[in-house]
Amino acid sequence: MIKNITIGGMLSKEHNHTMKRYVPAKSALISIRFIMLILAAAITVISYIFLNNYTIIMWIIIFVCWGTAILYGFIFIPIYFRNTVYNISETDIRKKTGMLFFSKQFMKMRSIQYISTIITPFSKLTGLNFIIVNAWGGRMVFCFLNREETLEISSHLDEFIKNNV
Amino acid sequence: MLENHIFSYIFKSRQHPIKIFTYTTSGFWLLLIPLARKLYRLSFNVAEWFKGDWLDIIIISIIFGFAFLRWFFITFAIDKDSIRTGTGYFGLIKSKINFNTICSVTCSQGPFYRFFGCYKVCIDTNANFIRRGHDITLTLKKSDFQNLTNILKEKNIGKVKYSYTPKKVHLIIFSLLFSSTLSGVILLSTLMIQVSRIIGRQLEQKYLIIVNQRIQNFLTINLPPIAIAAASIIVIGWLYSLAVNLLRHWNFTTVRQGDSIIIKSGFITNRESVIMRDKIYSVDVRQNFFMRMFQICSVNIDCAGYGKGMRQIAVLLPVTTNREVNNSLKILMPEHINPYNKLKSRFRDFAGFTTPPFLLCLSIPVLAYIMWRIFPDWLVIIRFVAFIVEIPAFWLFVVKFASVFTTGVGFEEGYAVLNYCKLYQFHKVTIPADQITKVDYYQTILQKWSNNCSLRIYTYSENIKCHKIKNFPLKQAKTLLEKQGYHMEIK
Repeated sequence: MIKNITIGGMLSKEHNHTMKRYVPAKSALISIRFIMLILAAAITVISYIFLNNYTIIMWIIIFVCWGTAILYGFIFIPIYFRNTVYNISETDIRKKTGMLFFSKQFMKMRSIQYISTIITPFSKLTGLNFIIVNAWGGRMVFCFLNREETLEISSHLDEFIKNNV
Repeated sequence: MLENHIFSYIFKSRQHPIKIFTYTTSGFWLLLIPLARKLYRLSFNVAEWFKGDWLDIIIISIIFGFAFLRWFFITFAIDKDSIRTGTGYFGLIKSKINFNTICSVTCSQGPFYRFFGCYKVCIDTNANFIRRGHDITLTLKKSDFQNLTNILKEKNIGKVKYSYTPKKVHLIIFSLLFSSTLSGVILLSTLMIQVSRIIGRQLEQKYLIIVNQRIQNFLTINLPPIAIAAASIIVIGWLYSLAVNLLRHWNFTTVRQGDSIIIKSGFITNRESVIMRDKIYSVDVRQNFFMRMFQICSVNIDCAGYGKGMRQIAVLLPVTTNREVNNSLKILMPEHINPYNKLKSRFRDFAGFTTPPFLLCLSIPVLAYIMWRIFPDWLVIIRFVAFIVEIPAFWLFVVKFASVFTTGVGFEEGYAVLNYCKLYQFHKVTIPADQITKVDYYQTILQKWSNNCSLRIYTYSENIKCHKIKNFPLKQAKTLLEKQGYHMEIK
């Protein structure tokens, strides 16, 4: 989802600029839930086959596995998706994210050195696309974006790096 | 559409196929030897061979298959203004590095790579996430390597070349001075342990006996065998490190052409680094006590990627005289300026420099005495070890005393000069003032009495570095820093 917003209302006129807002794709949340479901089912089957003689251990593993899947799939990851926002302007990029503890990151555009993109197969459907922004002092990772948004952001950042001599 | 995509992926540029073998496990070759021996014994009867060793063959095939897939999925493309790579599982991580952000490109070719006509290329930018590694590391075929170097050097073609080649004697002195005993000792010890594991402890004992006998023939004093063995390991380790250093820096040449500096070196493994001049953070003129006495120095630079590997030194001028260093730097880095110390430490504050090494010197005999009281039978070895450890401690005292006369800070024309002594080495770091990210001063109890302070200057390069400069009058230090815009007063 892209939204144009204006920041810097309290600052001088030079600091006023539009920035684009990006949020993780909903399809990614469904994909993660689906992957977790398959993993949990696989672990259940494997435990049932190989730990049939140790029923207590088998049930502990199955409960822990499904408990984690439900906790993350229905509570933590939806919170993460709801709270994650990426902002990109002409001068800087910002990220707000978190599950239990929330963090805000800020990076100047001119400190960006290069970017790496990870576009997984069928990512149009799954939303499993990532951008790694490598800069002076560290990196910022944009997770679970739409494929179109991933391509748009990466080309925008790439254009900036090219002109930022 | 999909077919087009698959076919275009197959025909993408890849690393030299020899890289497949380096992607296998290190013991891969050891697995092949018994298999090959068995095949030879069976007079190359492949069917029988498969029947007997099918599990080994499958495991080796899987290892080789994984290595092949890893090689297959690492692709690259060299464009006019950038290099694009596909790395990671199934080549999913697509990176693009524009040439204008590159700080250094280092190419190396050892005898093995030379035989197969390939080059190892490491590309670095100021992005510092991968602390030990490079941003891109590829093993390229000769044609791809030439394509890349042609693009990198294209803009400098026709521009004047200024070159600096040190004398061979200077390279030998450099290798002697900067050989690290530790790395040699680690390698030698590892070798000894591995050999002991394979053929038992007989060799180790034989080695100790031979070394002991030989040395006792030369020396009249009686030394414990373990001390002789330790000393011999240290000497051999140092000699190994010396040989590695010498071979690494043999044929050293620095060339400035246009906006880049090209550094070539190596005897067995040839290395060539292309460094962007505007991406050099700082110049560090290094000296130890002997170098200071003989008025010689070594110049290092701080640039992302250069001198980053194991046992590598980011050297620009291996050894030069104090008289020539400024002229050589003017030739290689014309924009480099040489600021003077505006703030110097005072002789009367020498106690601030010498107290820690003095206490260290005193503590060694005290510790030796305590150890002797606890283990009275170990007198000979305790005395020997205490004597050996006392030498570097006393030397540190001498060096720190000498540093009283050299320590200082200065700012001039947007550059800062930081003169300080770190352990046994004197540093003169020249850095653009805007590269300084943080300045602070601190006072020990002794400094509080004498109204002195020590400065900690943090500079930003690929990593954050802290330069500690000791013992300045607090008032003068504050005034100098305030002049540069670092206001320390908190209201």
